[in-house]
Amino acid sequence: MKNKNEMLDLIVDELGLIDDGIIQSAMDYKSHKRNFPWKKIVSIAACFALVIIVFFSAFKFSSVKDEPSGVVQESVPSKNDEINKGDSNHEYVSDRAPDLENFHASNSDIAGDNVDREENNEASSDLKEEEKDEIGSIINNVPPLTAEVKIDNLDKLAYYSGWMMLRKYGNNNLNRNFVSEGVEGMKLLQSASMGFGVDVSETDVYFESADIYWESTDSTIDTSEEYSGLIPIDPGFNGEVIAYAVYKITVNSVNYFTFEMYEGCFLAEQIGTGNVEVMILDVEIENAGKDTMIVFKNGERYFSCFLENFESNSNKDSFYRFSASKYISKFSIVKMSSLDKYYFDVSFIKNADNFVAINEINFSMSGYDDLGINQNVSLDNYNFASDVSISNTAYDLNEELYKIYLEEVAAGVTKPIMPEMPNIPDNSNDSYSDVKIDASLNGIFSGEGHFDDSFGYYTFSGKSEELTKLKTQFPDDDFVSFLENIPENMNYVVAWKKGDVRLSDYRFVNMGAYRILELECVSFGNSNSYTVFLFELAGDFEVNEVKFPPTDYSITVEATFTTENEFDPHETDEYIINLGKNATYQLYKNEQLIYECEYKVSGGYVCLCTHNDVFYLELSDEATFVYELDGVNRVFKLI
Amino acid sequence: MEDKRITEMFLQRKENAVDELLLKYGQLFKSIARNVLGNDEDAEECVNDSCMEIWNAIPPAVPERLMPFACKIVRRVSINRLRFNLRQKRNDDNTVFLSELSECIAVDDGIYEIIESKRLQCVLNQFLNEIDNESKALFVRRYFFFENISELSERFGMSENKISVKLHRIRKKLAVRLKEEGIYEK
Repeated sequence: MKNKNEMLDLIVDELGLIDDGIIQSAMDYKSHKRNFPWKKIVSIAACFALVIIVFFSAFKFSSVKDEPSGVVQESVPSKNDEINKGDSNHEYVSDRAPDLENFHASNSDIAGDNVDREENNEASSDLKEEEKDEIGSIINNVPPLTAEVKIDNLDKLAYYSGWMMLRKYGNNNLNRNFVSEGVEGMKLLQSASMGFGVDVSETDVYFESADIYWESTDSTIDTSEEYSGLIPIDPGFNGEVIAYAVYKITVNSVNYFTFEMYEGCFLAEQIGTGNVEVMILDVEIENAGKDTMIVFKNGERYFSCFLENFESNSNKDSFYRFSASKYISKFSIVKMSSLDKYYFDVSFIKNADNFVAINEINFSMSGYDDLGINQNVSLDNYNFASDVSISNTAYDLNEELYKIYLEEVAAGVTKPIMPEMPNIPDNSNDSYSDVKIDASLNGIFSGEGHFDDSFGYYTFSGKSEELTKLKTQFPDDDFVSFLENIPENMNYVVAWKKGDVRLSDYRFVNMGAYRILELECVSFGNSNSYTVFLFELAGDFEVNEVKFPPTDYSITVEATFTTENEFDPHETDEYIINLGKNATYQLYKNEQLIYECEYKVSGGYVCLCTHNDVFYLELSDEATFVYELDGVNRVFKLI
Repeated sequence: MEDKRITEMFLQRKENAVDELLLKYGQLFKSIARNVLGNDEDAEECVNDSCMEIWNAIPPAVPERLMPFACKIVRRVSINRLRFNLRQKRNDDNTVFLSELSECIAVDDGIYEIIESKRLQCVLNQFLNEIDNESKALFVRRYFFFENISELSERFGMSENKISVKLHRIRKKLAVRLKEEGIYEK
């Protein structure tokens, strides 16, 4: 029996036998990032400073020696002494997130100097003096990112990102004279001086590394759950924040306020009752584009969802509707259409292009008030930071964004799309060469289905759940059973169109992360049938066998015919020929053999007809279509 | 000198082939050996032994890629030396990579019977071909060339923390793959 060490040895040995190409490519790989040699510069600077200090000390020493006796050197307090003295006068601000009660209670008491000076110094070292004054007391209560904070979901990341932004740019002069107009479900805020923007171009927008640097080693990561545990944040170059997790997210603006949550509503079920913090953030998630999200936080419980509707009626107000149907689950964005009845409306008062106040906040369910929360919204705190680009502070979270879309697909809310087409290049819009049409497999489906006239398309990979989904969208059992007869693991695009049609063009269109196949067809003939197209995706796919639906469908096989001048393309009946079974079929015109095919049919009948320059081989319901394989290209042979 | 030319010299049994090889890849070989063994003296010996093995191997072998071919030999010789040292208790702190890789394997009894060397090798190759280039480079440099974290940090322009986390995630993915393949069962 081998022990663990022997197993390790085995793996180490096997790693020594990995492909040469892998080793070569790994050696050839060059990272575009290089560390700025801060350490070297700092050490050189330190040496230089040391030399200067030694030099001046020697000089001073010689000067003191020259002073007349009795002159006392005045003691000058060092900077450190000053800081230490200052610290002793200040209340210690915990680096843990304060609970909300203390948080609110302390807001009015906390003056600008009720701050850990060292922290404040670090946080605002690159701000001008007047800007320092504008950093409000609330902002100084930002729950800092510390080693104890675990970023284990996207909501939390967004929340802390927003806080860091508020900390940097939030307004000191909050007007908290809330005015209640007595309107049901509405609280009005005075709009004066409710927020401000900072022109980022004048300041370096880097988070202070001292505030957010987390000491973490690999061993501290909890491996029991995929995204739990500490995510180290590296101050990096100039204090740029990089968190290593799943997505790359950039926060462009943030609004913050709190309210009292009472029980009995959807949101309370998600995050509980009590004081709830709210953040509205304009975010940009890499590859998913920009979006606006609202984050509700109650203690360690979060609920976040995304903007569904936005209206800007005038220069003075704007309306946001966030729908619970698109929400965050851990590091994924989930779409759940059944939740679209829950939504959160927020109205803002604008001053020119800047939002200056929240005019109204409304939590609703299907158009009516969501169980009383409207009555109790109390905007205890409100803060604002917008028009601030912090793109340099992107969070590099390391999960594939692809998942978002796949989950949307899994939720069954998307139209038939092609979620997995790894072998089609991105620039396939105008490139036909990378997708191979196997024209010989185009067929006419003539079942009893009642599809609408719209064109359908689908990526078929043979998975049962996808068939189920298709069934939902096209609830015709016959068609689904048609698909079910296609072997599994075939990477085919199946498309269908009502009527006898001929494919004239196709293209792939990128829509966000989706790739959509558009087909152009020429219609003719029987409008009661359906034409089904199968496209084999070029690439690594190996399809060794293709089976047509065995008995239930009449299919037409299409092939390009190059001698159209020899017959009238519209007189299709003329070319019904040779209806034998399991035989080679030949087409004659004027007693002259014009083509011969090696297809064989058993059962039912087969007819060969033409239309324009296309031949069709039709099979009856009883017929079984057997065809020759020509390698992987199942070519309809013309002789 | 190009690798092909050096290979030809080996095939023609020209003695300066080894010199040319060391001229081009000597530092790389030494760094591999040093990363594994942790000391220059042993590393030097391993590089010399490896050169002898390479000399004996070519021909009959005609490697398409000389560098990986030679590095594999250096690596194997170094690991064998490490194991010898471990048995002799001459090494105590240069097996970090072993403990890291232990995340990927099972400790259950009975699992070992199902492991076939070829299969494991195949899975590893597949896995490395599937992951992105950066991860692949990280993994290979760490577990094939045994570069330490600080070296990787400098090379990839990332913090050591980030390197650690990335490696951790790669190992985790590998563990999942091994599990899927029935090699790793917990």
